[in-house]
Amino acid sequence: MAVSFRPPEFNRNLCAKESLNFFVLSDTDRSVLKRYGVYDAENDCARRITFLIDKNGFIRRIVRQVNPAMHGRDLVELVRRWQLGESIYRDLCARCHGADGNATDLYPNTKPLGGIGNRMSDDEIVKATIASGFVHETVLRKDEWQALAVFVSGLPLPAGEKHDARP
Amino acid sequence: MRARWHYGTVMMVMLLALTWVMGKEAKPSERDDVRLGAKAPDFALPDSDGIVRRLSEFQGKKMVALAFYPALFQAGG
Repeated sequence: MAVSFRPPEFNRNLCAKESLNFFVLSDTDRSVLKRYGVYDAENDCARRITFLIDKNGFIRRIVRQVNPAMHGRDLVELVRRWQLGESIYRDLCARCHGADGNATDLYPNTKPLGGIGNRMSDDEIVKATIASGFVHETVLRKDEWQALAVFVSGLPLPAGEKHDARP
Repeated sequence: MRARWHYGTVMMVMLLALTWVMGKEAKPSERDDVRLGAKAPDFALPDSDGIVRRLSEFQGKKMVALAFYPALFQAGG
């Protein structure tokens, strides 16, 4: 049986166009797939999932609906929104929530935001933020609210909450 | 086309491809914490030129998009 995988040139071209650095990595024993929980045992391959990891190594976004043909472009757009969200967070939220989202002593009754995207959708985060009354709905445009949710959903988990292996 | 700063986006796309292997079934796996906000598990894997890449080599430098996808196998003639 001869088996091969598609040469990476196709993807390389796309990424060159988008100015992305690009590596194709081989995980022949599937160990990394398993550690990331993306191993499809039935078909002995990876599931199509993308993790966006920030400069400090934290998982900030998990993309489960990947359109392969569009993915390079979608990722550029995702990073653009994340960066917009980051600047909004810095301007409006960090004062009380802290740079990492987990400050509890900067303002009364502030709860850690780290990992909030594991229990709330982007829309729920936006609604809860507006409901809190600290940022009026009209302060941000709709796309700005969405960008803020993209950024906030993956804020680093609070220290001491890092050993739960469930996704 | 897109605004110029899109092109400047510091991002690294890594694609994990499965190469073929007649390997034995690996032991039942311990999945790491891969929730949002968790520290991404580091790894060391060879790229298409055989150079070992580690996730940690980008730390403090760039955002990384780690894209897993099903390998596209082709039956050879």
